[in-house]
Amino acid sequence: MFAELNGILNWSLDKFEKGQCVLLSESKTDGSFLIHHFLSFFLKAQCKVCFLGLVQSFSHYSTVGINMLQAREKGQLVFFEGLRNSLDMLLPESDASDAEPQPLSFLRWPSTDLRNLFDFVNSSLSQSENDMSRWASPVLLIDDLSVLLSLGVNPTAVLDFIHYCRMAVCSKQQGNMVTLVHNEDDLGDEDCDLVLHALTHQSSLILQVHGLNTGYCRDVHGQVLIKHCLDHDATLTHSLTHPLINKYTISHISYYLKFRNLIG
Amino acid sequence: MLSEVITGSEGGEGFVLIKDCVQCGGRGLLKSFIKAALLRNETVHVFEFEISQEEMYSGLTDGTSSSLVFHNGYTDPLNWISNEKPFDFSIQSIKSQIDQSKDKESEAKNVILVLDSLSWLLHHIPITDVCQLLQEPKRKESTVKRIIALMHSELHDQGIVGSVSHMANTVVTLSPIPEFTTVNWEVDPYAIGETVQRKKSGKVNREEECYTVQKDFSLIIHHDLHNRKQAIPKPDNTAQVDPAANLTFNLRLSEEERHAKERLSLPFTFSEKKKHSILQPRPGGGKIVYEPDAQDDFDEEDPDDDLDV
Repeated sequence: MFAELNGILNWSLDKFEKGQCVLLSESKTDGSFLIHHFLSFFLKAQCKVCFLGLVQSFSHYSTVGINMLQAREKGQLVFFEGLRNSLDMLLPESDASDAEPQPLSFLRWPSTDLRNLFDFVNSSLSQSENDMSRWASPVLLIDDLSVLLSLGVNPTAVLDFIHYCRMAVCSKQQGNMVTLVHNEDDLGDEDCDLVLHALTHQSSLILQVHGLNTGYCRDVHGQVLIKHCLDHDATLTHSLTHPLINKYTISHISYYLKFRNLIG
Repeated sequence: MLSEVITGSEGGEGFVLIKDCVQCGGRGLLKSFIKAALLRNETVHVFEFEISQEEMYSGLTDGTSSSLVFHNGYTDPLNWISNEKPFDFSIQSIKSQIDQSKDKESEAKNVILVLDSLSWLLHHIPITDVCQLLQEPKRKESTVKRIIALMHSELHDQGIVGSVSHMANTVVTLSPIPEFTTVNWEVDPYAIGETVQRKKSGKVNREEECYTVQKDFSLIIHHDLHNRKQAIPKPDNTAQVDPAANLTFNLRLSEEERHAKERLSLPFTFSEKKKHSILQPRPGGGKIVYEPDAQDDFDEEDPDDDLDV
């Protein structure tokens, strides 16, 4: 968790905006450090977290930052390990698994939508009275959405899934949702662009991670642009942009505020 | 022109399309259309697919206005949660939903149909069906007087955006304010709206305006858009550096120096005196004597005959 980023967003563990749909986009660099940031932030803020980890294994995520094992045992964290589940789905050990709907059923029946995956999210985050007293608002983290497109899911189906997650988590339960998407503007990937643009319209906070225009640098890995979209709100002011430079070493990340006139 | 379209004083009928982009969303403008219609005491049917009822109502009404009818396509449009009848996107269903709620009212009034957003509909039903719905205000017996739709133009192919735009009587295309704007605005403009209006007579009006939507969804139009365009090159002129300044040598001529320069004859100028001196045979100069051989076929009339090979 990076205190500097929290300071810029004006978030703290006991006070942060609820009902937000946060979009993280990465282009020409790795943006997963933001996923780790939000994961450890929401776990420390005592939120009930559902984490769809489609890119890495559980042990990878738990070694990077916070002790996830403890959170999972306490029932605070529901972790969905996409790598293992997809293998189980494609190479089932017995036929018994067909009886109940699996979250990744679209892998075997490509024409189906992502309804089962949404049901998994919804049931993980719907809180019992006991949960409500223990945990703060629910949070859904997705790392990352582009994997679903790579697995052959129709972009409209991905957007339907996001629509339902947003409705259930952000609107109904006043929780937060954080989604990572690749930004492949240069590559001309139409499906990826469609999902990214649609999510940009729906998100209230956007963090864009870019590689440096000047190319590779050993110390500075890229810049983060932060946009607050106030379009949903009645106060229609222009979006704010904070250019940052992030420098990360193996164990920690430090941010350097960069003034706008230094960029161009 | 944008505010006239919103108030309905100029070409209120037909299909109004708002095309927004990633940099500037058009929902604020859509809400100001709804607000203006409510103030005129017209019945507005909102088919909402992207935001919740609370978000749509915030700032518009105190929730009691009967002339704003909300059709919820947001909560469960695909019937994933409840096992009730799913939201029906078909045109017949949308029309019958309007008719049903109209029956409840005592007087038959013309209604305004708001689609937020058209992008959602285009992703879920065929474009032919969407176009049929958009034709509705043109039918004489229809109660739908006006359709106002928001469309996110990046989410569709150019072809689809083009066909929908062709059906519209008025198209408002939003684009972001360029960053290098130099004018000091009193209120920062939100976006540039380009309004294209096709009249029944065939006349096409086009105007670009900067606008801001205020908290009460009234619109501020910034009239100095054209000043802004002219104002851009100004800083370039003042910033231009004089290349002759601060030189270590003199580039300018005094009057005396100019006369001296003009008097000087340069080596390549061919004056009369020079010509004369060259053409006059000088003492001790050489002379060419030519004696033809016996075999030479010398033509007196054409001495250069042998050059034509």
